[in-house]
Amino acid sequence: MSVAELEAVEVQREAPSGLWRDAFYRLIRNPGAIVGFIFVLVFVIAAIFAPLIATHDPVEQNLLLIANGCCPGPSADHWFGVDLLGRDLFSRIVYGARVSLLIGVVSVAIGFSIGLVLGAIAGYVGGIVDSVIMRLMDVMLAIPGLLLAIGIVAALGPGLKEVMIAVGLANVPIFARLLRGSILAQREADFVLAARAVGIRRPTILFAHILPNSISPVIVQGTLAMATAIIDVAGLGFLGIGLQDPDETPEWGSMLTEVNEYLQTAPFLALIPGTAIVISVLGFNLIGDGLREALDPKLRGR
Amino acid sequence: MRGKRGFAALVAASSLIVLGAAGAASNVTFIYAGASDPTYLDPALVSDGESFRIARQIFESLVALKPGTTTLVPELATKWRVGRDGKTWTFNLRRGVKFHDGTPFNSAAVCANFNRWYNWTGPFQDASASFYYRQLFGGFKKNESTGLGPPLYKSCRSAGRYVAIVRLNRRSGPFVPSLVLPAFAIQSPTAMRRYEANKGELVSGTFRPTGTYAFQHPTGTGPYKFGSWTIGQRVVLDRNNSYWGKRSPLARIIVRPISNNTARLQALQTGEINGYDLVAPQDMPTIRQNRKLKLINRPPFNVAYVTINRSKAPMNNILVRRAVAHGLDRAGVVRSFYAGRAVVAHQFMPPAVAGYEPKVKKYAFNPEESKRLLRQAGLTLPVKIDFYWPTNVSRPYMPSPNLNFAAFKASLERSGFEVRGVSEPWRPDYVKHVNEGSGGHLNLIGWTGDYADADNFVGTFFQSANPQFGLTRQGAHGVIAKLLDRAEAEVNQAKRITLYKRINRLIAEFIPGVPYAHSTPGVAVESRVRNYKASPVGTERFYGITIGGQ
Amino acid sequence: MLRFVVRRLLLLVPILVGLSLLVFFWVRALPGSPADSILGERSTPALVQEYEERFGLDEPVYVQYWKYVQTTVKLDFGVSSATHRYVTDEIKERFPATVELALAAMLFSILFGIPLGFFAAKRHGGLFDHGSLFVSLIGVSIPVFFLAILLKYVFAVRLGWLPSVGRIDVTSEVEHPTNFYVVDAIITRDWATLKDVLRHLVLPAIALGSIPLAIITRITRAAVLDVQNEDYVRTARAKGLPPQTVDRRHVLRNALLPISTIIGLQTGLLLSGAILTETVFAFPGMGSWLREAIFNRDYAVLQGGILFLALVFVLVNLVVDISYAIINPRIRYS
Repeated sequence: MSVAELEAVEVQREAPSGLWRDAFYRLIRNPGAIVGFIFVLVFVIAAIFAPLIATHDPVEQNLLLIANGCCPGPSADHWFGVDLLGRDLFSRIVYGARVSLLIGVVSVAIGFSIGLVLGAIAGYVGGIVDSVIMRLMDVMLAIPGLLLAIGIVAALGPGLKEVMIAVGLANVPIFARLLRGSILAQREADFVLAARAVGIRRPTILFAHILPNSISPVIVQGTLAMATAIIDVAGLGFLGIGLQDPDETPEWGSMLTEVNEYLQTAPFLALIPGTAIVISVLGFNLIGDGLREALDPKLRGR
Repeated sequence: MRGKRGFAALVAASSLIVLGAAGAASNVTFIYAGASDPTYLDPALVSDGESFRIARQIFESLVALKPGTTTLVPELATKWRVGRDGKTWTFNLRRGVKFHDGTPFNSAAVCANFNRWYNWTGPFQDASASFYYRQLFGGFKKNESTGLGPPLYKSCRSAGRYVAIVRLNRRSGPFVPSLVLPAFAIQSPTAMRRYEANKGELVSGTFRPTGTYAFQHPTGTGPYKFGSWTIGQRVVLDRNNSYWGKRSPLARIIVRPISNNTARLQALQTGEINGYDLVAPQDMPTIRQNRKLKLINRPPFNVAYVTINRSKAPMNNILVRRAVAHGLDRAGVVRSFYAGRAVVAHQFMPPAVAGYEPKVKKYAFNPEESKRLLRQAGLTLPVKIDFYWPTNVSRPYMPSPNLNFAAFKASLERSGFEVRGVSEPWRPDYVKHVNEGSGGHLNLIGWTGDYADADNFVGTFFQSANPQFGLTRQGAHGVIAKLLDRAEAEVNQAKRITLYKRINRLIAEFIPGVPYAHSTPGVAVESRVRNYKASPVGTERFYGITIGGQ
Repeated sequence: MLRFVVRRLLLLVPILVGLSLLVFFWVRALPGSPADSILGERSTPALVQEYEERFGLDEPVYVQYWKYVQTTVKLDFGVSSATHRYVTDEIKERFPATVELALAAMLFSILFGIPLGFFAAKRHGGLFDHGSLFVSLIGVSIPVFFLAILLKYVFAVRLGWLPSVGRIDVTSEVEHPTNFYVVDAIITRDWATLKDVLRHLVLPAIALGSIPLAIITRITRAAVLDVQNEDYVRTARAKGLPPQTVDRRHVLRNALLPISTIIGLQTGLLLSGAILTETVFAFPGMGSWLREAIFNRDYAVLQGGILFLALVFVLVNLVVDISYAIINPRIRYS
């Protein structure tokens, strides 16, 4: 075997596991990412196992508890206290995680899939189609996410579906740009040409080199998009332009809407849902940042 | 000697005190906060409470409500009677009254006002301009839109300087009571001409006057005249020293818009204002606990009710409607969520309005009876219904809609129903859906009266084929609707009252909806403010108020 | 240079046309009508129908759009269906409020963000560095409205140090010729009012500025880190220049380039944050105004207000681009 072929075999053997393993090791040594992971884990567990974790029915109203005005605080019976309609706040927070997770995942999925299609078309077809699509994406990017979501929900009407579409659409231009960039890059990348020149087979190139490099920004972006989605949904809920029945479907942001008037008497009504939002968003941001650092090719091998 | 000098000194001292008090009273300014700026100051062209609030100080009508009550008393008219045909109203007018611009108030002025409204054309006919005129008088001399009907008003003529004879096209019971509305106040024809009160336009679909009358020169006969209006900041009104009535103790009134509830309360607590309206329910305990402040009640003049939409099965079945009536825990809601400031309602008008019938059929909260009725109707329990309620709003008759809904849902579910609650923001979706009948089987809404007449309540709800309740003017509803037509056209007060009592009994049998509360909204003032008579209709005269200890 | 500016200015025209179309169709996509919002319980289907006719909503779309263009070009944005005031008059009051708030927020984020980022970079890897990164992360993770509620609760409700609502004391009777309250107070040398206005700005500005603060801290840190390792900096140090001079003359000045780009691009975030912040603090700016207008289906306000904001946004971006081109000559020729 020639030296070149030997090197090719070595590269082939190393490539698949090396990148991911490197990234993983770097990730678990990042304290921020660990903390973030814990936060997200708590969030996801709460969301998935909500019926098992919640102590009460989140929509059941117990008006006796607020017969003397708002609102009794945390107690043995109700760990987080009770809200304006006598509902257990702890259970509402737990089920609220479910709503946030659902909306987050669906809207990121919407953003990713539509973005993928648009980005792929723009990247492959190129030319005028590429320009038009990218201009459109620029216009959408120019409008801040929350405002775009407000506009879409106002036009479509309130409701869970509409909120998911609105937040999802706000994500489209980001993913479209990202994916278009990746697809363009793969055509011309030096390392691809080099790998081909050395004789490595196409599938190996694709899986060992191209995909990891294109997927990592997507993963990072996906995590960060989850964070933004949770914040945007909360914002919509807070403004009262969101879910159709905010008092029936617990949503953290809408829990904060009427609380303005009760800050004096029952501050926990605001502090608890708000903290839940912060913890979940922080978790995703920490993981996203950790992933970005871990997967950054510039840092590899340092 | 000393005795006499001492006495003289005492007299001198006391007269100084009295003079001082009188002088101090002459300089007193009363500062009041409302929730927003007025739209403009020509009351014939507005429909919002804040504009009416200003108008009530500047303008007067032919008749008025006795302060704090719903009793009709003379104001610019001293006597009135209707002719035998039931359509000709003769008003004897008060003498010696002048408008703020010095021109005399007389029958010519009265007719000039009636004719002004009647002769409106173009943009003035739009609902965003002459809302109340259209409501009460139906139409104009020349209607320019198909939404307008035949005009109630026919003509007005002077029979001498102080007698005005108004002829209507039909008999109308509510005609005189409705004149207490500031929209029908008598304004100075001279000033209106001079400052172009009849110039206006529709801009992007909304009316706006283009003359200066409505912004800088509203001219009436009231105890206060217009001083200045700084948009978004304050309206200043000065005492009318040539007022025909008793001189008001307040030299000046300033009305400020403060839109945030908490900010209004804070301004009162720090003494920067003397009083404010639209007290939020959660602030009431704070005010009551503060010795320096007091909460004044408006006499109940509203009704909170649950609509039952007959066009949505099974609500067309009277047994089901009765089940709903027995299934709502009205007393519970009133007790728990109105902070002691409401009474349970059993009919669609408050007790203070003539025609109120204490002996209507009452439906006590009885879950077993509800279930029995539903089974009798052949339905399987639980009966599934949609119950709509509004978010983002607090109404005087319904301070916390979410709480009312929650309690009603709970009591209905004990009574054989399964309730699916749907909430929508009050603006714009909820109001739209409820008013056009596309909401739920049951909906939470209410009404505050504009003037003291039964027609303003039960007439508004039940005279037409109102989609809120899915009414058709047929069958049982037809009977009620035709009785309402008769009552509206009845000019003999005693007969009207009898008719409305009968109507209220029939409504209680028919159950188009379930009324549940008449609430008393609150006004907050400093404790040293005396003689504040809060009106049921939501805005009152500040004339006659004194601020003690000043 | 001139060609660059002219080219960008010409681009404004299609952008504006596109924006007007977008706003026009969006407003018409809104379900519900102003009648219900205005009339409340007194609304009836007949009245709603009449309002729709009045608003010209029954005419063909292109006729409506043409009328819209004609009036907008004359800067006649119409009258608000809620207040019956001219939309332009309301913009004259609302826009300066939001501008003051936004500028205060930017000032806050720059004054704290740049030093934070700078020292974090200087003490790279140390506690301060990690601490500032953490603060920056929190800044992006707290929703603006929750931060606003927290600030309001701690500083206004509990401690009572600062006012909780509004732009100025409710009983103030001061005139506002320019509607920029801070400027007006300075011009008339009304120091009491100036203090009052500034006190009302503090909490909303901190809430609104939290996100730009986070971003500026990060960018500054990254930029300084990058520049520090550049050759010319090492040369300067090798020459024996005192560290402060090196920092000032070389590091900071060159780091400012990417930083200023970011600052210019914050306008969008400030706009969306403004809606939330103004709602919590009942601050009478464009944000709370437009939010009310959405609930009221106030077409005139929505069309005029949004178009106006979009125009401002586009112009600000234009200015940022031009100034960036001035600072960085390479951009001009692209």
